[in-house]
Amino acid sequence: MPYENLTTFFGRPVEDFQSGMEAWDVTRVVPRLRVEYDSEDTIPSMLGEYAALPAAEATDALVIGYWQGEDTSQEIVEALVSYAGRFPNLRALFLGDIVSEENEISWINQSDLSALWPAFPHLEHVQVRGANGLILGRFEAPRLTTLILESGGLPRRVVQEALAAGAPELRHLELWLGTEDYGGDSTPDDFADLFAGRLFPKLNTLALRDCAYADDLATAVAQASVLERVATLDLSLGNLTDAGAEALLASPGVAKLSRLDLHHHFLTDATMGRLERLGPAVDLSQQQQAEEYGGEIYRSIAVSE
Amino acid sequence: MRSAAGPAGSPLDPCVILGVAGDERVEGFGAALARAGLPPARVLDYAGFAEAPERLAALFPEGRGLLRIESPGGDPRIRRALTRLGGAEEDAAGPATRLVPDHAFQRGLAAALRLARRIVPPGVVATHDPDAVALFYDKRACHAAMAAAGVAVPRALPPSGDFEALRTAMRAAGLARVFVKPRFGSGAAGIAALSVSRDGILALSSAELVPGGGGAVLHHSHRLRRHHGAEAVALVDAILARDAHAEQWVPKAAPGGRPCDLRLLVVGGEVAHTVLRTASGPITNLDLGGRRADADGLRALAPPAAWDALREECRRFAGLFPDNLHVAFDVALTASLRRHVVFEANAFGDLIRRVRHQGLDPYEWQVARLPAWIAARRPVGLAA
Repeated sequence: MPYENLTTFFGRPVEDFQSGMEAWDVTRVVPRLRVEYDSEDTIPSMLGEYAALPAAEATDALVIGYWQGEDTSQEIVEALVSYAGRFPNLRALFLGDIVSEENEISWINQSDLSALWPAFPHLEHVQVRGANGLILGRFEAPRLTTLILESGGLPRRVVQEALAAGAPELRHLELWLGTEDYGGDSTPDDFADLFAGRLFPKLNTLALRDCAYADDLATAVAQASVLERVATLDLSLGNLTDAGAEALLASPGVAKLSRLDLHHHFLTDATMGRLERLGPAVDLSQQQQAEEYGGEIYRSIAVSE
Repeated sequence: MRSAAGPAGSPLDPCVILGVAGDERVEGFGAALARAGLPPARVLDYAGFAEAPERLAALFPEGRGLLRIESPGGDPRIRRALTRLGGAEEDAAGPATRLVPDHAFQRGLAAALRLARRIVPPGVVATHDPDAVALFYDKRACHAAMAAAGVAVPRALPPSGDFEALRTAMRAAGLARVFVKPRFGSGAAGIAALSVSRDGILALSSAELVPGGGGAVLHHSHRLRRHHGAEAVALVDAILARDAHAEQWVPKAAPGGRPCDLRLLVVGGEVAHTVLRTASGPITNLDLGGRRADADGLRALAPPAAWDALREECRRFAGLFPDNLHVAFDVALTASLRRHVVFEANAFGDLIRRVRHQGLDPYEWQVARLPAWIAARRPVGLAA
């Protein structure tokens, strides 16, 4: 996981833009730029071609797909910034719609995205896959409502950058925290300000997914005042066990949520039954079994390598 | 004894199979002959042929008929016989899972097929051209032949003797992911799907290095495992030391999150049976957890032009080998579903279970097509 390319983004179907296309109906489909295995094209060259189309000006959403080799996204980011004037209406950007058959999530090389924020002040939805080399910078994103960082290991530094964002409109915060093996070195303490409700006054969905310390995270968030604000809590894809679930079950804030997503978990049937009766609509699919190897018990998160 | 066929008899009578007596392929073709009301084939196995080649000629008393060449399979007795014919002794003491270089075996097979062609009477038509079989078995040479014919293939890397050389070649080619395949080999035995980055090395493979007396020995474990870092380097070193072909890992289409490729059979110049193989990772072989699926599932997702181009390219390349009754391709649509890529051509890839084409299994289909194909052939001994 993730195994499938986007079929829709920002509410519309995604289609690949191909070199040589002369027309593009931005009202119907969202363009994805991706490199074919036998093509000389690069994402920056395709971006230049797309930017020259009349459709560029009306383009509100853009998906960047697979780029070749060991390249980072740096040249892509530079190209986006250099063509920013041709994309005055860009509101949604997905950087790295790359599936495991193309590149494993923890092998995708990202880069410093700092320059994107001032270049595209209308961004509402920013989604990035892969956290190697990822830098968000200190940024102001006045219209940002959705920030999604997918990774197999999200460095604490990036978590801190995301939480420090000047994003007063943010409603959906989604961080795939991952495992230490792939650079995910955050801890529950990193979320103290967030959990205390000091950040993102309009937050509605809090998704801290794919977490390798899901029990500690659940325990910390269960008593957090931020739950008074959000309607959806998503702790899916992680290694949650009954220990963390007990904290959720004991939380009045969790009981008042409208949605609780815990899919991919290590809960017992009995605990799952209690969660189902708690109140929120609960996703408890993908129950996992711990594995024993060399005398040790392993509970793997869904997305790491 | 076979009854004598008159001048009006079938061109498949007599039919002699050079293969492995009693194996699924020989039985499958035999069953198809029976269903067509044809007399049973005589079977000469490779070991018997290697011992006394003249026995083959004696099976065509009237100087005409069909010689069906079959896969030598993995039978150890036949492997030994053909390896000896190739000028080497196979270490018979080693466990069956041990991966040994196949060069001598391939030389032996090629020698056997050339010998068979010389021995059979001039009026006999053979299903395979020995040179084409040798080409298809050599992954490096086959890739080069496909590339030269303009077939869409992954980019190949120059031969590398060890991981460091491969890493350098990958960097020069701008590739972070490659497949490393034993130059001669079948199935997924000894193949590694290799990813490198500045921070790591990952090899997905069913090959395992097992510590032994004279150093580690490469085995086929029948199970895919991820090897990281130094372990991956050692594994790839061992595969490369046996002579391997390395090529770009082209992202395959992955509907439903399952990467897939097609086995596509061309018989007598026309595309016949196709089956989709899907897996949870990049290696789709059925013996390593790949699952069979209906090719129409992929066809429905792909632009018709891409699907047609894939089929036409296989048909066209097979057409360059008119003296081969069938050629089986491993081919995929890319992740975008718009392009195709051909990985391999197989000389004996027609064992496709539980798939029918116009109601016939691959052997029944060949039996049905053979009279027309034979009629269009010049018998082997009558070349101009």
